[in-house]
Amino acid sequence: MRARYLALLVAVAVALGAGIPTPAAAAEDPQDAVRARLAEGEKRYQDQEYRAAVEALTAVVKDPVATRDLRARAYEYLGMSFLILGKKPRAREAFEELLAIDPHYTLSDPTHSPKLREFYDDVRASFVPGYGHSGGEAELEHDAPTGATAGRPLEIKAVVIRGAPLVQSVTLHARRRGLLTYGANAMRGQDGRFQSSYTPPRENDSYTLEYYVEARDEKGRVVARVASPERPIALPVQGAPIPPLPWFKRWYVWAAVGAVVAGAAVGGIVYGTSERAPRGSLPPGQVSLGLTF
Amino acid sequence: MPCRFALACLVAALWTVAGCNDTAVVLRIASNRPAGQLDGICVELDAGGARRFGRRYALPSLPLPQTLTVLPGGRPATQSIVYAFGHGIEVARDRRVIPFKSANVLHVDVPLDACQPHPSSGRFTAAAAPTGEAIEAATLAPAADATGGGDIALGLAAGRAARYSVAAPGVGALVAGAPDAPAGKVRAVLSVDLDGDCRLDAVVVATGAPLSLWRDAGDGSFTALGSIGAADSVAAAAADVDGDGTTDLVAVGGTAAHVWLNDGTGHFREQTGSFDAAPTDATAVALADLDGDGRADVILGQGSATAAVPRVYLNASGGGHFTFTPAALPPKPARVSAFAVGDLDGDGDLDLVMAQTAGPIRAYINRGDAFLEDRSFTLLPDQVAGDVPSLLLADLDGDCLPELVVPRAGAAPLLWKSAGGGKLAAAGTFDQAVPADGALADDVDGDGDLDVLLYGGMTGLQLEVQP
Repeated sequence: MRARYLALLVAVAVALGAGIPTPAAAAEDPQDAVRARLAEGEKRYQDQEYRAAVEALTAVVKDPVATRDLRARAYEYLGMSFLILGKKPRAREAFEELLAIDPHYTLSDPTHSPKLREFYDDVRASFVPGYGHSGGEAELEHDAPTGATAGRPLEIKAVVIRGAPLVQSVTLHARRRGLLTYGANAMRGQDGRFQSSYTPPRENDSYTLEYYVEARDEKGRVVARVASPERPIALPVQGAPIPPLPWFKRWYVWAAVGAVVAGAAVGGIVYGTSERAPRGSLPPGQVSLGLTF
Repeated sequence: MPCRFALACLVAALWTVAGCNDTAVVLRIASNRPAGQLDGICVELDAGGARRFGRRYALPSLPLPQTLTVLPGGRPATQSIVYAFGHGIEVARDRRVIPFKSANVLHVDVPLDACQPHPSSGRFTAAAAPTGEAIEAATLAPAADATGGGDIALGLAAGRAARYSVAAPGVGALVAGAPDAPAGKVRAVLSVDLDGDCRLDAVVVATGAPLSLWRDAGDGSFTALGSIGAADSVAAAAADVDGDGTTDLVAVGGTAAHVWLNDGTGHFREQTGSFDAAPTDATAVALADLDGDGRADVILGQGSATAAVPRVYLNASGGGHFTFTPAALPPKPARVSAFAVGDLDGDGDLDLVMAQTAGPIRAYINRGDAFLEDRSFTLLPDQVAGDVPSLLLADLDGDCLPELVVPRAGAAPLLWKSAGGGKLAAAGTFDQAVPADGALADDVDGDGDLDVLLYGGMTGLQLEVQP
């Protein structure tokens, strides 16, 4: 009898363990698997196992939970893998998918292979309007700050470490996490060193600032990037209480001042042009009928 | 909250805009008469029901134009009556009701011009049936009413006096507010400002009684001030004879002729020896500046029973001492009953119309130096049947030339209209052809033209208005 009870408890425990997710499983990010596959694909690429890389990366781009950023990176490695495998049409398809996600995408290929760059430029020149063959490429170096305080200026610096003659402008694109669009802030600089004083929006609560830096050539083509719109740098911003506006910056103070000034002006004009009862020349000058004579 | 504050500022500004003007009426009193022709003005203001403001101003020290500002004091309108005096005699009057306009200063011109033509029909319509009392003399004065104009008539007979309201609908009921008249026949009642308060007081001339002085109490009622002189006057006239700006009195009767000088407060003292030649049988008197020297002269009628030559006494010294001037009037005897003085021919000097008992109306044209020429034959219509106890010379049709109303004993008054050049033309009689002993003129209905109040005989009071 005792043995039968133990068997029943074990059966229930097994059933519960199989049918009900544990707290650890519920907290697991579904994109982790995608990231793992992407990392596997990149590793296979590094290990020159291009077919295995294609297999892993194809799984990434077909995964519906993959983000645009993950897809973009997967297409980049997928295109490079196909090209190396001699499958140019498949490589072109992969790069076109990549450029559809981000037409200004710059390859992160650490080998800087000229053949790869040339092929990618061809694809981009035919796929992205306004993009001809670039005169080369550049590379930016940026030391990302570790944190910022809301409402206080932040110095953002970028140095062109390669292809400086190509770079005509460098722009900081920043947004508060959660917003869809970035705000552009031109960086000032010369001789390949650019900087910008950027003030994160003032907020009481802490938030995360997302940004990337982009260099363009004289034709407006992106020639270098630090991070990207799909994969920006995340900067924690410490919230700062918004100080109360000084009284002279409050709108209603100036509205009241304006009203008083306008009233005084109107009153002055009216008083100046109004007619007061003059005293007559005959004594007693003025006679009020309300009085008894 | 800030919005409310701004709104409050805006409301305050709008309030300032709306309420920036005072509410007042500024009277601008002016005249086109030559300097010196007017010696004073009276300004009387009334808001209805309350006591009036009245003040007399001597013009030599305050030459026209002058202004006076009237504040409403809670009243909706004011009645202003401005008189102009020449030698103490009223020569012009402007009377109007002026409504106040909120938050506006109204500027109102008050002309005291020699004449402002404002033609009217000159035709009269009886306002109502005559009142019918026996009235021997009457006077007419503006009523204390700022809302609709109207006059107060004072009617007197032996031992009796009453006041009547006179307005467009006719003569109103008898109201109290006047002392009893002397017991004798009331020969005349003068309407003059005795005490300088701009309200018209009364001087009653009655047979066998001294002159009775009645003061307007301020609300249109009269109180007795007293009497002056002996009981020998049959006629009186008022004017400033000594040039002090106050209204003096000249009273005559039989061989008596008195000059009573006013101290300005209604107190009189007789100036003896004022006439260098006493009358022989005085029956009528008038005061007018005949020789144009700015002093009131005396025209004296005679002949109570037997015709006698009327006289002119010139006020040569200006102090109220009169000098008989035999050549001023033609030496033609008459039984004079009344005089009327006015500028018949429009030449700027005063002419004379004389009524007599059992005799024709005479018209004398002044040559300008007090010499009066008899032009009766050329200027007057056919002669009048019946005795004429009084005359009224007034511009009734607004053409700046006077019309003559000729009351007749036992017959309806005649109306002679000016025809230019001093000529008067018969224009029939009034609408209600009732006998009358006298006539008074004033704008009782406030329409800008003169209306006529007939009185006397058994008529009582009969109002004839110009529509």
